Amino acid sequence: MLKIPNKISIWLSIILSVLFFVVLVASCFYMPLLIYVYMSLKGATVTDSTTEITIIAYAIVGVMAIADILLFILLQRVRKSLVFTNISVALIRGISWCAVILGALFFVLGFYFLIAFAITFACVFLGICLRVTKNVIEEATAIKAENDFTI
Amino acid sequence: MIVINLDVMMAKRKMSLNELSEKVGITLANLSILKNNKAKAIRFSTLDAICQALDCKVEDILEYRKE
Repeated sequence: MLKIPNKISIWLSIILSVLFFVVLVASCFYMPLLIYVYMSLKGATVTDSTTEITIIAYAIVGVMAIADILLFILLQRVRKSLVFTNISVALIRGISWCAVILGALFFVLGFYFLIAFAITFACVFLGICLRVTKNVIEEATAIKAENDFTI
Repeated sequence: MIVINLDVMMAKRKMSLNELSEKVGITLANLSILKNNKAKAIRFSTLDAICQALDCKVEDILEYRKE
């Protein structure tokens, strides 16, 4: 398996999170068009529910943007070797809540597009994984604090 | 509660924090943490070095007080 050096890996993650944010911003401008194209492909007509779908889609993009910003801040802290701190734990907690909220939004979207129910499960599972990761980092932070104050 | 009476022993031996830091081989910052009772644990090697430097017993440095 290809092992990328640590520093390069962190910069790669930062670049990917920035690129993802750019895509999210771009999707905000093209959202109505994307929804129209998707519904046309499905053979559905534009109805009143299109407005609701658009609102949910923008909400999803908004929550994803918040999660991406939190990820970016977390990566900056990793780059400065400030990993095992309470702030990092709070950032991971925030990202896990974003995943759960995304799951809820996709659940609502599932009533319009069945495939969204599958994405709901993926988002909730991701949220659970992140919560467990947060618990691990929190414990590691406590152990580090104990070690730092051992003279 | 364990209390560190480092400042008391340092005053008795007329030793500054800088001098003690050099003799014991611990940084000033760590000694400050110890002196201000902010330490969570102390290594036996550190305790040994401090007792040697201050020419005192363990009980002169560490004291148990009921909270």
